[in-house]
This record gives sequence, C-alpha cells and structure tokens, in this order.
Amino acid sequence: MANIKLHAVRKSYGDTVVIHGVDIDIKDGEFCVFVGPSGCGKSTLLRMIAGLEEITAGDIEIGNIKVNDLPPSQRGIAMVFQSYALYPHMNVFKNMAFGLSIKKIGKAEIKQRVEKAANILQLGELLHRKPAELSGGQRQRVAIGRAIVRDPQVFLFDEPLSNLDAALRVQTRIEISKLHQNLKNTVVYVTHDQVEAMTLADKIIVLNDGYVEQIGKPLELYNKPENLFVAGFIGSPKMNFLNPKIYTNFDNNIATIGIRPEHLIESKNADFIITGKVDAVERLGDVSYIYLTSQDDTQIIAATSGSSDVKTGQSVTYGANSDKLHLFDINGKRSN
Amino acid sequence: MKIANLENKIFKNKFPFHIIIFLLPAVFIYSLFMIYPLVDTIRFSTFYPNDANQLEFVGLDNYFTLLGDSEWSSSFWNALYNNFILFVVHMLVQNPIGLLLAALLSLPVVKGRNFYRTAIFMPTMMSVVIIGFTWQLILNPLWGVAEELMTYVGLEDYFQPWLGDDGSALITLSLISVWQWVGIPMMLIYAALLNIPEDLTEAAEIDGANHMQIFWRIKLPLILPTLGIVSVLTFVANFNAFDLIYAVKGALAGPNFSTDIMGTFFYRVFFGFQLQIGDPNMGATVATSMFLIILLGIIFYLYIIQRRLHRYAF
Amino acid sequence: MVKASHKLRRPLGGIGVQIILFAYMILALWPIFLVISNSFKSRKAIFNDPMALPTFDTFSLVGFEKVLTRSSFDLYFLNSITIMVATLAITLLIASMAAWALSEYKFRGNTLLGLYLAIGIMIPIRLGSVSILKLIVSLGLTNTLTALILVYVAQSLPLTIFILNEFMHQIPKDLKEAARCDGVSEYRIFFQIILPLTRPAIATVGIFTMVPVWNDLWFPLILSPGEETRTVTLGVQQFVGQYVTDWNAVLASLTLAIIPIMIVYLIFSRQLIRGITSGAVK
Repeated sequence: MANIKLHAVRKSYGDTVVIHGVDIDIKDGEFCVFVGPSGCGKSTLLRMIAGLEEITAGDIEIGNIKVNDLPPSQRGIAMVFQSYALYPHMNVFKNMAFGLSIKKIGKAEIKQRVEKAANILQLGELLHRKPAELSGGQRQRVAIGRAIVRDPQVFLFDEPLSNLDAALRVQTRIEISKLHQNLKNTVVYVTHDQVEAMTLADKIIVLNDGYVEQIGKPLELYNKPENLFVAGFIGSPKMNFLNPKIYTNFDNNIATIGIRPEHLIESKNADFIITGKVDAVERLGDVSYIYLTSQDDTQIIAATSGSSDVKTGQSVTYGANSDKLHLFDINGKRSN
Repeated sequence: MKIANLENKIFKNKFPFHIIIFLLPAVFIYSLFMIYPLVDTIRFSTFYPNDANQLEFVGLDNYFTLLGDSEWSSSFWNALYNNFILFVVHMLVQNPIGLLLAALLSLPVVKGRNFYRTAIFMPTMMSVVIIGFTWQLILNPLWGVAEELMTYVGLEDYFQPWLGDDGSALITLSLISVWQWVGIPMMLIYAALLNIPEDLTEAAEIDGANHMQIFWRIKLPLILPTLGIVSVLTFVANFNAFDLIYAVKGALAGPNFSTDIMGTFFYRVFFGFQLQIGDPNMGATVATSMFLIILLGIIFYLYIIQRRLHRYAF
Repeated sequence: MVKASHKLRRPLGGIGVQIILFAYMILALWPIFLVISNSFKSRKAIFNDPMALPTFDTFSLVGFEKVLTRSSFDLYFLNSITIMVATLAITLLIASMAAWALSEYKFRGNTLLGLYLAIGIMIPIRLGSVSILKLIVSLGLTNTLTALILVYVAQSLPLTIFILNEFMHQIPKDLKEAARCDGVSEYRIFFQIILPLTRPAIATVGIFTMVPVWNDLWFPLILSPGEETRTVTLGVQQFVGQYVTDWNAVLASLTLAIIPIMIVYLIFSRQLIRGITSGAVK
C-alpha cells in the first residue's frame, strides 16, 4: 500500500507545455479520479505516474520513494489501459501470468495467483480463451485481472470504461468500486466522464489545460466549485451562468452568477428571479428540463419535476435561494 | 412512376452488360497473355517433334527425359540444388537482416528513420542487371576495390576472386541478391511492427519486460504471419530468378555451371546456347517443372504454414 | 503520435542502434555511389584510386561520350519510357474497371473470378514464356514494343486489381447510391465518380507495377531483342557485355541507367513507402 505525491510536476514536448507544475497528494488507499475534458493532460499525468512518460521537471513519489528514474515495473503499479492492451496471441491465463513469468516466479505460485484473481473477477471459465474470443466486458475484466495479479501498491486506470456500452459501463463501475473496497489499494483513475468521477472517487482532481483547477471530495466540487471551469464541468445539465449587470443586488466585483438547473424553482418569491420564454421542454419522466431564454437573452436550463405542465412558448418565472447561488469574480474565481 | 422505372432499371432482369464491359478488357488480356500461356506451356510439355518434325503427343516422356536421361537430369538436379542454396541463403541471411533492420527502425529512439528507410530500400529499386554489374566491378581483382577495402581492416589475405571460383560463385551471387532485396522484408516487417499498438508494448513494459523480452515474446509472435508471407515471396522470387545470374555469368552460369539455377537452365534449354539449338518442348517441360515447384511451395505455405499462423486484428 | 524519447526506455545501445543503421545504409549506398563517382573519372584515375571522388584533374566524361556514340541510349530510354507509360495507362484503366466490377456488383462467379485474377500475383508470368513467344510470333508482334506492353499489362493486372479492389471497398456507399438515385448510368458513375476517387491509390499501384517493368530483362531478351526496340535494361546488359573491358564506358552506362530510376525513386519514395506500410501488399 502506498501514497502518491506529485511535487511541481511539469511536462513539455519541446516548447509545448502540457502539464504546468502540478502538486497532488494522494493518500494511501484513496480512490483518486483525474477528470477533465480531452486534451487536458489527465492521461499524460497518469502515464507519468506509471513511468511511461518522462517527467520534464518536478518529483513523483510512490510510497515515499522517489520514482522519477525508476522504470514502470519497479514502481509498484499496475495499469488498466483504455484499449485493455491484452496480448492477442496469449490466452487469458497467459495474459495474466505474463508479468509474473517475467519476474521468474515459480509455476505453482503463478497458477495460484492467477486463479485467485480469476476467482475475484469470475474469469475461471475463460482462462483458456484468447482475447479475440471474449466480449468487451470480459476483456475489461481480464485487463483488471492482469493488474490484480501483479499485487500492486497502486492501480492506474486510463479511461477503462470508455469502450463499453452504457449498461455495462454502469455495472463495471460498481464492480470497480466494490473491488476497491475489498482490495483497499490506492487507485488513480482517469476519465472524462464527470458521472464516473462523482460516483467512484474519494477525491477528484479536475484538470484543464495542464493545470489543476480544483481538488476535493465529489460533493465539495458540486457544492463549492472554486472557479467557473469546475462549476461548468461538474454537474449535468451544466450550471447556468448569468450576467449580474441586470440585477441590482450584487457587488461590482461579481462578474458571473452561477445557478444549477436543479436549484431553480417555479417561484416568484425567491431571492433571485429569472423570467423568460420557454424554447423547448424535454420530459424524461422523473424530471423535465425546461430550456428558456431569459430577459437578457441568456440560454437557461431549469430542471423541474416530471409533473410540470410548462409548455413551449409560455412565459415563465424561476427563482433560486441565495444560498444556492455561486458567485464568481472577474477572474472566474469563486467569491462567496 | 419514376421511381418504379428506376427500380426496373436496377433490379429487374436486365442483362448486366456493364459488368461484362467493365471486366472484359482486363480478363481478356490477362487470360490471353498470362493464363493461356501457362496452360499452353503445360500442354506443350507433353508434345515432342517426331522424325518428320511434326509435333506429336508424347505424354510424360519429356519429363522422363528430364529426370531419366543422365545428361538432362544432372543439369536439372544441379540447377535445382543451386536454386535451393540460393533460397536458403536468402532465408538465412536476407530475412534475418530484414527483420533486424525493421526491428531497429521501429524503435522509438531512432532518429531519421525515414532517411534510413529510403536509403536502404534504394538498391531494391534498381535493375538486377545494374546491381549485378556493379558488384562484378567491385569484386573484380583488376579494379581491386574489394581488396583495398579489406586491407583497411587487415583482411587483405582473405580476398579471393569469389565470383570466378566454382566453390564460392553461387554464394557470392546469392549474397549480392540478398544485398539488393533486403529492403523488401525490411519494409514488410517494419509495416507489421508499426501496426502493433503501442499500448501492448507499454503493457508489457509495466509487466516488467525489457526490450528483448518485448521483442521476442510480444512483437515477434504478432508478426509471424508477415514472416510467413515474406518467406513465400522469397521462395517464389528465388525459384523464378534469372536476371542476376544471366547478367553476371551469362546463360552458361559459370564457372562450370556452378551458378546455374532453374531460370538460367530454362533459358538455355528454350533458346539453346553455343552449338545446341533451342528446344521449346523441353523448355516448356522445364518451365512446367518450375511451375510445379513454385506451386508446391505456395500450397505448402497456404495449407501447412498459414493455417497455423494467426493474424490478429488490432 | 509524437512522443518525446523516454529516458527510462532508452536502451543502453541507443547510439548503437543508430550506428548499426548508419553502417547498413553506407553498405547499401556505397556501391551505387562508387559506380556513379568513378563514371566521371579518367581511366587512369578509375584504377589508381577508385575510392577518390573525381577532382579537377581526374574529371572526365569520356565514358559518357563513348556510350552515347556507340549505342543508342537515347532510343533505349525512349523505348523504356514508351513501354512504361503505355503499360501504366492501360493497366490502370482496365484494372480499375475490373476492380470496380468485382467490388461493386454481386454476380454469380464473382469470388471465383477474383481468385482467377489473383493467380497471377503469385505465379510468375515468366513460366509461360514458351507459349508467350509462340503467341507473339503468330500475332506478328516480335521485336515490337506492343508485344512487351501487352505482356507487361498482363503481368501488372493481378496485383493492381487486388490493390484497387481493396481500395474501392472503402469508397462510401452513399456516393454511388446518391448518383444511382439521380439516374446516372453505371458507366458515368465509374468514369466520373469512382475513377477520380482512386487517384490516391494510383501512385502506389503505379510504382509497384512499373518498377518491375522498367527493370525487366527477361521479356525484352526473348520478345524484342532487336536494336530498335531495346529497353534501357537490355541495352545496358548488351552494352556491358560488348565493352566489358572499357571501364569508362561500362561505368558510364551503369550511371546512365541508375540516375533516372534514382530520381524517380527519390520523388516517389514517400508514396511507395506509404503504400507498403499501409498494407497495400499483403
């Protein structure tokens, strides 16, 4: 078991900087998710922890040992790739045993360790199949199995669910979560999907353009996004952003007001009022999304109860209590 | 109404003239100048002129002559044996060097790989005739270039006029051919190696495999199908070779027939040489034998080798 | 994907790899270079110091003069180019028509015909030479460029059809179906929509089939050995055989044969290598 520390870690290709001096502290046993839009540097950061990518500057420690110059195999990590990267010419058993056989571990022990991992993941029946004969979900489990067999201090996951269909994704997400509760290893998990991040993580690190935007527990990010980027990135549908100029009761230094769709209520007596015309209504059953254009021509989404009878073209008034408002200054920083 | 017409046009029993017109020119030229000659050559090998100089069906007699008559058969077996040596040298030297160069080229550390690739492939583009003459000049003791080069490394005593010597001419020519054609296996294998997703080598790296282990245990098994294709291409090319020997050694494939291969043997039989006049029927017999040898090689590859090699889609 | 070289992955022999590749490159280029460099030297200089580059004192074009006066190299070039251009044009046209028919239309015997056309990829056309010669004689085409062009078209067709067939499978269905809905005839679909789309494949195919044609010795030797129809490759072969002791002339004739193919190769090497590495030949 091990903690991970990144200190002022930078990465650049020639003049292009992809990671700008990142400091991250991941505790032993923590499930940490890197989340951000594609191209934000999250995968690069993971690959740097794995040792697949050179570190331009700074230090990475795993289990309090500086690993900057250690090859991947000596860092006590195991990685699950987005493509699973199963060796196509080896059967499931050999795929899982490959790392152990490189380490010259005895046949009996390899067998015992592979079978143990196979049991955890219910791969017992599949041990003699080649990857091409497996379904996507099974391949995914083999990839995880190959990681478990190594008995690593740290699991690294690189968008492991992105090749699965929606139903399987939810199921596997839950399995990964259970696995972590049982094994209690430190996990670093990369995803662009904020739902995965919210559901799996003990700690979320939001990355954008090679910078850490915010580090926190899932609900901290939801309730108190530190800046506009995090506010817009976490939560679905996206937070509404409004210009405070047309409202009188805000300080001059407030540049943007944020309000989540689910916090808008049909009320004329709230602290903060938006009026507008409904452009479209999406009824999902439990919830209805009302798309409206406000009086200052801003596009707003409101999430209302499924039984709402609002119709397209209708004029509506929505409101929110001031404790639900997120206020941001001119630099996009939170100021309430 | 219009739509119905259109459907009629496409789907109803209108005779598909356009298909025939698209196919006809290619099928005609190909059949007339490729397939018909191959079949006719086989047919022709079962005929022989009788005393009245009229062609007469003789069954497999020509083959019995080729393999039974001591003069014919010694030439035939000599050419076949030499051809086999040529093939073995290519398999043992050309393809391993091609594999090595491809493996080195595909390493991420190599800088300027396009440049190396282009340069190493250059001889492959040249005519065999030119390459043959070039090496003939270089190895010519009169010019002494090879000898001079060997002096630089202190090996001058080992210089021999290799091309002129019974014992070494064939091997020397084979190595010249290897030098020229190594670009083909290099390119094909290089392409196969590029095709292997980087994730796989990274996964192996995380599993603790070093460069050698990654090559032998991950990459090599994945490119086996390409090695199979390279081998069968080498086989067909070698048992069809002619130009190099003819350019450097002439139709007599000297010294003393020591460089005679099936291609040059075929040429001599067909066109004649010196005092012997050409014999089209025996020529057809030799050509048919070459056809059968090549066919055997291809069948061996398709049914014995290829079936055991898995092609992986990445 | 661009990836910076990795400190951890760099094997101890990173430099070693570079040295091996460089050394092999020298081995591959040096003989060609030696011939070219010596062809510009006087006879004395060729023998006194073969390794030296031509200098002001040793520079001489006497070899080229001899080649150009004693043989019709210009004619050989013209012949080779004529053969190559005609072969390429005919092959590309009729091969793409056939490839289109095979990839687009479902008709009985489609697969079989595909296999039939593929035989020639593996079986060398040279084995039919006895009958090809008979055929050419009976058509009255001996010692003509037409004979060579016909044989080379037949030789180039199988691989060309194969490569173009793969390529045409990738042309989006919507394109031709949109045209059909507009009532465009099958011929016009092919000539106005499909043929222009195959242009990227044509460079690859052209190089694959034309290099063997340019370099071939066998068919010029047996079908058209006459002076009037001699190709560069046969011309060099005959010339060197005749003047084997005249080193200036021999080196100059080799250089004359090397330079054009080298230039063409350097221009098209990108397409060629892309063609090979994209798996056009498998």
